[in-house]
Amino acid sequence: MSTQNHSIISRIDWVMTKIGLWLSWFAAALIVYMLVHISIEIVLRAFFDTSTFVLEEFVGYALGAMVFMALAATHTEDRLIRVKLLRDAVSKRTQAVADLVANIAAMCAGILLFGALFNIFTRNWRFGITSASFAETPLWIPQMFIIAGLGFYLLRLLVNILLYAQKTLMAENSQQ
Amino acid sequence: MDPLSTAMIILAAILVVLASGIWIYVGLILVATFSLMVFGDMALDRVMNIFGSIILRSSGSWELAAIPLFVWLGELILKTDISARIFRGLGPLVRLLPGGLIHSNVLGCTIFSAICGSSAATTATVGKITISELGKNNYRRSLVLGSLAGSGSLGLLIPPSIVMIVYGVLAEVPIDRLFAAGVLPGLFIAGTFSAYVAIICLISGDREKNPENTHQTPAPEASIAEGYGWFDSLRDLAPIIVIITLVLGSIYSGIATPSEAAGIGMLCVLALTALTRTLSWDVFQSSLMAALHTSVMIFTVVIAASLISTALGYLHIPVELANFIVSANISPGQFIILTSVFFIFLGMILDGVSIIVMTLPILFSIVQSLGIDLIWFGIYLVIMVEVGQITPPVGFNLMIIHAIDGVPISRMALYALPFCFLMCACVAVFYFAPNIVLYLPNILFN
Amino acid sequence: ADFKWDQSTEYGPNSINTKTDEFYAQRLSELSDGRIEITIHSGASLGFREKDHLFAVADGALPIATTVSGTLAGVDPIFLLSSLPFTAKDFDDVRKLWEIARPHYEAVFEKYGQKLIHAGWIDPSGIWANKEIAAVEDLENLRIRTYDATGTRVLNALNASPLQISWSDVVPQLATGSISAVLTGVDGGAASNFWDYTNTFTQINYAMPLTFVHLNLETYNALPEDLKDAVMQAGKEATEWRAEQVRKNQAAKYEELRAHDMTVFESVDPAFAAKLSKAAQPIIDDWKEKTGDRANQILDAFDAQ
Ligand code: NA
Ligand code: NA
Repeated sequence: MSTQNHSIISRIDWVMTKIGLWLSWFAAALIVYMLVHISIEIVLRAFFDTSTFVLEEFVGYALGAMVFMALAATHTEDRLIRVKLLRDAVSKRTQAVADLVANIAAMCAGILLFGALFNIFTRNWRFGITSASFAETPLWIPQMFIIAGLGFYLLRLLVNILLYAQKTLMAENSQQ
Repeated sequence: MDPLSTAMIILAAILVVLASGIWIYVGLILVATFSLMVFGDMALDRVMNIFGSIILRSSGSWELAAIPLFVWLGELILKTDISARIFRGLGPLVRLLPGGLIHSNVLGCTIFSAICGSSAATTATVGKITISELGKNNYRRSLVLGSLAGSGSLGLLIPPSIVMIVYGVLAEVPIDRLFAAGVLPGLFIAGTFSAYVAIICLISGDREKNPENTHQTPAPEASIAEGYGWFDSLRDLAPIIVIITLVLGSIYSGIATPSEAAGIGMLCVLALTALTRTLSWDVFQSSLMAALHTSVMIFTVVIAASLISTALGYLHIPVELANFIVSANISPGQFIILTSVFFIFLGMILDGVSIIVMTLPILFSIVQSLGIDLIWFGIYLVIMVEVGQITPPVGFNLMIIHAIDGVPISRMALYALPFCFLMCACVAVFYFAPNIVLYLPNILFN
Repeated sequence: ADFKWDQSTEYGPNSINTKTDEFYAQRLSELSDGRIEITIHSGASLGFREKDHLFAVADGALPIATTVSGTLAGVDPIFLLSSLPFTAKDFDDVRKLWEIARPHYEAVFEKYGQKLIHAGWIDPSGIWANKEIAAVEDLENLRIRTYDATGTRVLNALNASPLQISWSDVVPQLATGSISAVLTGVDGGAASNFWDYTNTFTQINYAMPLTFVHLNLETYNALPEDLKDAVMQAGKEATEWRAEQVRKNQAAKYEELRAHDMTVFESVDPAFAAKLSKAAQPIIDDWKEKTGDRANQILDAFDAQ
């Protein structure tokens, strides 16, 4: 047990969990921002005959950033759903293997998403594409948060994979 | 390969990846990729290019902004004393019915549907509040969770409703008439659910025979003091009545658009909990964090399900299956039966809005030529989409309840099954009594 | 078919955009002897929104797509040309402007790896309200829904209260009286039964935005010469077919509005029109500055005709 606690991977895991928590605080703040923007919009429209003109656009950006910034923390908190029926029926060691495989699968899907979004992000950056709205927001700015969140999620998965690989190996050792 | 076989293979692939124990959204993404590469003969980089815009769109659209806000509202109600008050207040009302507080699911979802256009948000918000309270009382879980899944989907049928807006825009049917048409069928289905719950409870009792949780905290029902009367009930229900009235008022006075109602609701709850001094920093931040995690979970599935939809779209599966229906020379009754089977099948793998946008353009002309009323058809379509919300493997309500309660999805699907049948039975009723649908729009607008 | 293309459009099956796309697909199938077949995915059913079309086609994620000009404003300001207020005042104007500007549009599409096949316009935007809009005073404090930033600026300059709300919220907001007017064409308003909430339509000839259909350049270049010709020929016919439909449709819609007890003003007083144009001038000047030389070339050629 003590070797595991002091292993480098465990320490990295601790740091990653901390950073994930900070990012999820940022994501939570975005929910508060959505509430504030909607409230301001309602007041402006009802009492001042005007509008922020960017409600839908900015709330949309905030939603996207919220999802990806908090993805790693939600994963760590085990709040992303999976069917655990078969997993619960097998031995601890097989479970570690199953978790390893699941994290690798998530890594594959994550890389796919990252590749897809990174392509869009860099092009919006390169060509200086803006939104067609009043604000003319450079699109790479909101997308930067998505890329950062997703990138961090990939690192998180990498650490998980190493952790479960280690667990699998240790379970093997203890069996001998 | 013919579209039906392709669809069956994709369905089987989804079932396999889900059972394998990987995260549901990961499984759906992998199946979508696999489908496009194998059946669509696409290279991986084209699949990635397709996915990029779809992910951005489905994670950042304004219509979905209501989800985190409503989920947060549910968390706040749960973490302050509002939810305990609701259940205490409902006590005298539902004690008369067999099934007791189980009906609070149906009632809660029906009321909440009137301020919320999304079924996911309705299920998550009401479920947060009811599941733990009903669990403490050891109510029959199949009914508690099944009725929640079923009535949660009413969020789409009782106005406001995102799905109706989509249908209205595509079919060029006035949205206000559609909204009016959804009211009576929504109440009818809710009534049917309640009747079903009552009957089952009469026949085989309303509590679990072997309660899982034996260390239960005192249930609100049991803790109701002697002499708790109608007036106390009203006082306990007052906060939630005030909130709902303010939100409804803001929508129907035009101060807020239906999409902004979640914001009004949140402001009301924040103000109310601040006034009654039940809002602390701890409650604020823990409810916000819980709402964040639930929302992210919902969004990952929404994104992944939209990738599946896009993949099916590229493979022309819904289009070709719908074309098959169009080419069959049939009567209106046969048409409804055939489309019901078709929608139930598609509903297993597609999310609601996709079903409508992909098949409506093809079915539209035959609906018109058969002389089926477009408003009636819209309501029918919404009910079929609702059924899709509670059928496995891609059933949002099942996944949300699983996330809140931890009940295995397979068992959850079984619990929801009777409610699927009930909805289909209601469709049959509406077919033979179309006035349940058309009465309100007719008197309001003609 | 040798070539099977999926075409994405955000518009519904009944819209003039989608009907034009269907006409195009039909004509192309005929002209190519069935060698090119297009499947139209209307109502954004493939999951793409208009904003995403340019890059989706550039990447080959989509072979072909339908995109309204204004949504591309963030890519290049040239795409605001067709929505400049009070510039193209009738169907002849909009055609002229399209023909003059076509090479410039084509250049931008080519920069992003695609071929502009055809374009078409819709009926001009007017004002649905509960009164005739006959003078600048009628616009004062009018809570009117606009569809883009340009419209918001112009109506602000005219002392109206323009609001940008999502199209799906327009009907509830009109029904509750939270907005009292909408800037859109007869066709768009009729599709949403605006006659239930307003009683007057004033055709101010605000603008007639273009809708483009664009094809992936590699896909186009890989076609044999005769099919390339068929692609462009069908496009030419689609533009003509659509222009005719829009012209006929506008007249029919005016009648439909009157049948729903609406008062329709098919034009406004020239003095008022001049004031509207004057209010739009600063916006046009801004646009010229942003767009550079191209803007002056186009507008000078347009004024010269
Ligand atoms: Na609703
Ligand atoms: Na389903």
